[in-house]
Order: sequence, then structure tokens, then C-alpha cells
Amino acid sequence: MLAPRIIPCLDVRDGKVVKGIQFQQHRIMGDIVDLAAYYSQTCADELVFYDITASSEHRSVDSQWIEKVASKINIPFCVAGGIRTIEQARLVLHSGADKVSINTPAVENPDLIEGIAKVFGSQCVVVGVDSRLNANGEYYVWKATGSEKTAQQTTWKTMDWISQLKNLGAGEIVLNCMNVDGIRQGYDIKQLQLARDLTSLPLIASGGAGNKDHFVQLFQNVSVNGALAATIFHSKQCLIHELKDHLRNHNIMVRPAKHPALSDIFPTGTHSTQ
Amino acid sequence: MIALVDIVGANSRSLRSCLERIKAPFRVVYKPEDFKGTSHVILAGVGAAASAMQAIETHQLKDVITALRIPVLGICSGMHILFDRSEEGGLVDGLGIIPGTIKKIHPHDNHPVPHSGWNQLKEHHPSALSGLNDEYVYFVHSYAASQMKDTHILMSVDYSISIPALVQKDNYFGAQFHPEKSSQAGEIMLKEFYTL
Repeated sequence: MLAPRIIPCLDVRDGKVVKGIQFQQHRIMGDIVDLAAYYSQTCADELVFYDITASSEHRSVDSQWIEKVASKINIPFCVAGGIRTIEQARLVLHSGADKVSINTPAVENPDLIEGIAKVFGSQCVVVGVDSRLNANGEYYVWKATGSEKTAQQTTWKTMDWISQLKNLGAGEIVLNCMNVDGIRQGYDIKQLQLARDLTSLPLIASGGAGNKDHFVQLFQNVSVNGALAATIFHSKQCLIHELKDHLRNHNIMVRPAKHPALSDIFPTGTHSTQ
Repeated sequence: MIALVDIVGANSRSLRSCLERIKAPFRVVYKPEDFKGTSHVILAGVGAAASAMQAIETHQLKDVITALRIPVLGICSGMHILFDRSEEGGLVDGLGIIPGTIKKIHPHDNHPVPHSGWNQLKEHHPSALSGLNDEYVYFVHSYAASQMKDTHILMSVDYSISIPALVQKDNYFGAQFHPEKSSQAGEIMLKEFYTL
């Protein structure tokens, strides 16, 4: 059977990996290629690179670092942010990425999902859904969330949007639960379960991981296909090979970790948190 | 020296980087005389079988590939063209080296197609590439080998059905998964192949 995936998300800004709290207040976590190699060596199953400014600044992603990452790592990776056309998707995929993730452009132009799927196959089209609970207790899709100034609620209710995505040609969904993002109180299991009931597409949980048990709770309660997290991994508070052991001890059959050398875990120059 | 067949512009960047990491020298081949002096052949993933076979005909590589006596490894759709025929992109004849047909995987409950992600290899028959038994490797495909002779299946994975994952007939090997995306396990396999 397919193993549930553990996916570090690397938010990229100006060639560096950054992390904010609820999509704001970004601080630098390290160099893109160094961190990619680090996660590849410590048993991450896949990586997502999110160019958080490309979407809100109306520019496309830079393909140079994608090529560098592709030549350095031996696990699949996905690039998100600023992919608005089939040609931009082609550039990213031909630079070595395995998947593209589209978010704001998918909401603004749903035909783009099918357009990319027809040329490259649905398996490489991930739709990222930024979802936030409004004052009336309803989940809505947000767009241009890379910056506080541009972020805005769309007219799509999250669950309506999710139920449409398979027919639109998507191959996978990442549900970013904005209400819990960055506050480390656990995944939004309630919202993920609502989404799970609506789609047969692979579903990846995003937002809220604060400790290893949050991953256990997630996988024990919702049949998601993977869990995405950022700060908990970048801060090295949770090492992926240790997380894998913890999950397997709870009978969650992730791909087991080969225990890496300590020098792979803490190589010089990658443990920057400022 | 590995001859890397990458004739329809498949994105083999990751495979090339992987070969560089394991220090396996290779050159990309385009025409029959390019195979001279090579010890191994890798057929890179090349999209649907129909377009791959067309490219092989155009480059006049069919005779040279079917006559090879050195170890050959087809990866993903590069494996598919080793078979009698494929239904991907319309029914098309393959190279006819391994008996069987490439057919679309039918989706089941909780088993969407494409079959995409990390799955665990189970050994059927021991081989020179046995270092992979029980390892998780990375798959992404919608078509799979069927109607095969059991003796040609070295390893398979469970996805509600059994999917042939590593196959062999004589000096021809096929991997349904992507060793270049399968972390250390994939590098071990490519190293084992290169030492054949």
C-alpha cells in the first residue's frame, strides 16, 4: 500500500527559506538547496517549495534554484507560487520539479488546472487551498495569501471548491488550514475530515503541526495521504527520522527512516533560525 | 559507460543527476552507432508508449535495442516499451522483448489512479537486484504490466491489485518505479544494475 507521506514545506522568498506565523512576519530559516538536501537525507518523502511572494507580486517562480534542487535531491518535489500559465508550468517541470501546485491562479482561472493536466498529466497538478473560517463559522477559500496586504477572501466556500477539483483535472489537494497555521496546536482534523468526505483525490493536511503526536492524531483520525509542515521541521524541534519512528510505533506505516549520520542532521550552515 | 536512451525529450535531469551521484558514467545516445563502447543501457521514461515507439522507429533504434546482449534497464514508460504491446495512447506494438501487455490500472475505492507515491516492494523471485526487497520506492503511473509470465516478475507492490514493479527477461530489466526519485533505495538499485 502507499505509505502516508511526510512533507516539509519550504516557503521561499528571495532565494531563502522563510517561515511566518499565519502567513505573516516572515523570518529566514536557511538556504534553499542546503535545506532541500538536508530533508532528502533525513527521510522526508517529498518536498514542497512555496514561492510565497511570486503570486502576490505577480511574477513567476525563478527556475534556477529549481534546477539546483533537482540535481541535488533524490525524492520528488513540488513547486508552488506564481504559476499562472501552461508555459510557466512547463518551465518548472522541465527544470526538474515533479509537480506544480497552483493556488490563487486556480481560483481565478479554474481552466488552468485542466490545461496543465492535459499536457503533463493530472498527477503533477496539485491544487493548494488556503482556507479560513469566517465569523459566521464557514470555511472560505482565500487567495494571494503570500502577503497580508494582498490576501483576500474569495467567493468560494472551501468545501464547494474541494468537491469541484477532481472534475477540474486536479491530481492532489493540499488543504492549508489558515486558522491553525503557525500556532502549533495540531492539525485541523474537523476541517480535513469534511474535505476527505468530499473527494477521492489524494489529500494533504497542512497547518498546525506542533509536535509528533499531532501527526499521530492526524493519521489516526483522518485518512489523509500526507502531512505537510514547516516550522516544526525547520526549527529541528522534530527530526523527520524520529517522527517516522514515532509514527511506525503507533502502527502508522510511513516509509521507515534510515538513521542518518549526525553530520547529515546538523550540517554546517543549515541550522540558521535567524 | 551507460548508454542513456532519452530520445523524445523526456525530462531525465533527475536520472542524470542520480547517475552522477553514484559515479556511473553515461552518455545520451541518439543513433545506433552511439551504442558502441557502452556496457549498460538505460531507457528513460518517455511519455506514452505510442510516442516512444514512434521516436524509436524514427531514430532506427528498434533493431539495435532488441539485439542488445548487455544489461538493459527500462524505467517507467521505458519499461513499458519492452513489452509486446501497450494500450497507452492507443494500442501500439512495443519491442516485444518481455511477454505481456501494458494496460490502464482501474481505480478502486481509496486507490485512485495514477498510482502515485511510495510503495513497498515485495520479492517474487531473487535476482541480481535483490537489494531492494521490502524497500519503499516512488511510483507515479496510470498504466501497468499485465498478462505477464510469473517468472518474469522479480518484485511487485500491493495497490488493491498486485502491480509488477521490477521485471526481468534475460538481460532486460524493467522498473515501474523511479529509482532516481526513490532516495537511497533507488541509488542502491542503480548501483546494483551498473555492477551487472
